Amino acid sequence: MEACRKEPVRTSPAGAMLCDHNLVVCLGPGGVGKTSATAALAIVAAREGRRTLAFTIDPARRLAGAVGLSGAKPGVVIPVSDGFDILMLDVHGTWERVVERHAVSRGQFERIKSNRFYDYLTDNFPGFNEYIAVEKLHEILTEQRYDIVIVDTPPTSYALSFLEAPNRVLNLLDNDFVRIFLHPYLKLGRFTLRYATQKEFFILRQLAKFTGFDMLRELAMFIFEFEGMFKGFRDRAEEVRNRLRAQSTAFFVVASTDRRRLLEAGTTQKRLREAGYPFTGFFINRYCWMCRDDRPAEGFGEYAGCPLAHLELDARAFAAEAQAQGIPPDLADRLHSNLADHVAVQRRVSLEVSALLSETGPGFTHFTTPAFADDIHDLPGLRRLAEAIRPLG
Amino acid sequence: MPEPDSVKAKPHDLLTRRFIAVTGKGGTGKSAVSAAIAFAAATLGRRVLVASIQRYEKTTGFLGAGAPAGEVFEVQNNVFAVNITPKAALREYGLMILRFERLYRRVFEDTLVRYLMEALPSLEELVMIGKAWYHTQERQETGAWRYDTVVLDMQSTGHALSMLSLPATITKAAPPGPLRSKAKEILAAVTDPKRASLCVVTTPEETPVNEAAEICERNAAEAGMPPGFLFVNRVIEPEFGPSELDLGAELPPRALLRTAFVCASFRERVARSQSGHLARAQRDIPLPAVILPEVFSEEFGTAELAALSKIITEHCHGSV
Repeated sequence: MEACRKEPVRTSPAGAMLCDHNLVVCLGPGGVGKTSATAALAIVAAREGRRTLAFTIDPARRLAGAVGLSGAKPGVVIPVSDGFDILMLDVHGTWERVVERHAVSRGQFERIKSNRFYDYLTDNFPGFNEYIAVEKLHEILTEQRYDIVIVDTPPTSYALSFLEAPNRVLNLLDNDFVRIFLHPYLKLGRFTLRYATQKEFFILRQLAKFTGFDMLRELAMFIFEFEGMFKGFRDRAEEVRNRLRAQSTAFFVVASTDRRRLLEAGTTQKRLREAGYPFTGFFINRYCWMCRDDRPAEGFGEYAGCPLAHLELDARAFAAEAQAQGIPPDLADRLHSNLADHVAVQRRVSLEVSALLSETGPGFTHFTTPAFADDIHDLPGLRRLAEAIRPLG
Repeated sequence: MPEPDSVKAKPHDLLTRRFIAVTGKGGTGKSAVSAAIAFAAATLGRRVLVASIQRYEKTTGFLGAGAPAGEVFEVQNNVFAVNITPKAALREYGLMILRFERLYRRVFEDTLVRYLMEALPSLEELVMIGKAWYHTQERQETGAWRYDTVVLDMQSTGHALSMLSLPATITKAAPPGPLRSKAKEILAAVTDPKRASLCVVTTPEETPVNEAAEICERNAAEAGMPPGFLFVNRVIEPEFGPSELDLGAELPPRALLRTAFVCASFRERVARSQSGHLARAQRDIPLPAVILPEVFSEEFGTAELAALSKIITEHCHGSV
């Protein structure tokens, strides 16, 4: 490990950004390249000599697949040859350890584990992954084994669910309605329920119309088992939240150039800032059709100010130039129409990205990566992506 | 695991199905494909509803920008859309059972109770798919179906599969009760081999194709929906031969013509990279594949949607 502990070289704006932060969170909906962005940033951070962990909460475990470790186990830190580690969240394992550690007795732990809601909630409760991620992040940050942790959040349709969802779990398991009002009655069973008159009972009876009484009873018993374990849960969630709000944390909103994704990115940054988290900038993937390794030295400049968007196309002049160069007319036609396709797409993207940036205002650090001709899904591809990260605006 | 070259599902006439679920990896264009299927069916004179599943109130569907969750609105002649969110669906279902608004509010709008509701075995998922199913059962005053086809634009892979498997899971595992009988009814509808269809959208890229294969496997094992079509979206066909591209090598660097060659060569390399994934999708995924080309326009609007609809009609309608 010593070999890669060197002084930061800050070879690039992305490298400099990664040296200034110790926690980076990539937010965004599914399909925008969040996992690739996380891995590419981890590669850059490792090159800067930082002890780097790429932490993925994605239940589909794409990060391991992306770095060619598809057989890797969740919950196990895996060193990657580029000098960083990756860790996939092991939801079941982490949850079990959390419950075991904080249960007052072995008996309580066993009772919780044998309730059918134990596994059910882990797999199905919206926000459970996020909640467990917060617990794991707390553990990682407390251990201080890394200079920087880069977090790949789950691909939900709503980007901020990573920050909001953990509370849903706490609100469920630490639920006064169940603990104070329901539990005494639930112990008594159905008969009493039918004749009870209190408001809470009334509500319960209505709920039972949907679900049947047994299921409610079981859920309430499950929640009741957590009695007394919650002080710690809330404290840790609070510590992580403070850490996420610190200036040493960077939040990137990852987007692709799809119109809906760009609009969503704008909304996400607004909500993120409103909620008091340090929005750092956008990370826009597949920003330009002009692939970096296609970009000839000859004068396109930074692709960020993509030249394609500014091209004035004149079909007749194009045909004349082609003829002068001895290009067959049929080929010239296809070349022109393909060029026009690229220009159209890039114009739309440039306009929408400019609108996004002006709406967001100054003072942020945005990055882009180009579109590659081939699809990025392995380590060499991610290295190319890492090298192609560019500041925007 | 299906064998490679496994037997493909026999193509059916998609556009006359009553319940079509559309899923695939995020970012592959599920919503655009759902809309295109709807427009294709509407062209045949069918009344079509696109029901778009949105976990959060804060997001809206492709056709449903700005519409309040749960409300059906007409997009254009014979095409309707609705955004389905857990909250709105639960409310509708709750009102149906409890019958009174006040009663509903008292029970469901108690914050603590809401958390409980979220934890009950997939109640939210069930009421969302239940709402989509409910629209297939609605009738007009004439007695005809209100919607001949409901296209369910689902969330990405994981969530969609949990939702589609839910009626089967509940029917098998839950104690008898209103939840189970509802689940049983929905199960019969979504697995109906004559009326339902599960379509998968992918792009010719590594992960989306893997996820598409996973959906088919898990559908066969867990949900049991009749397999429909695989839509391979955003396909770029090869357009330039290598000898043609060589003609650009000697051109002066700044010439427009040179730029055109750079774009052409980029396009060819994208097409080449895609062709491997496309072949894999066609070989490994047990659904008949329909290729939808990349749309290169400044806007994805009505004309672009109509073009996709036309392809879908050609490949998924009639004696296919």
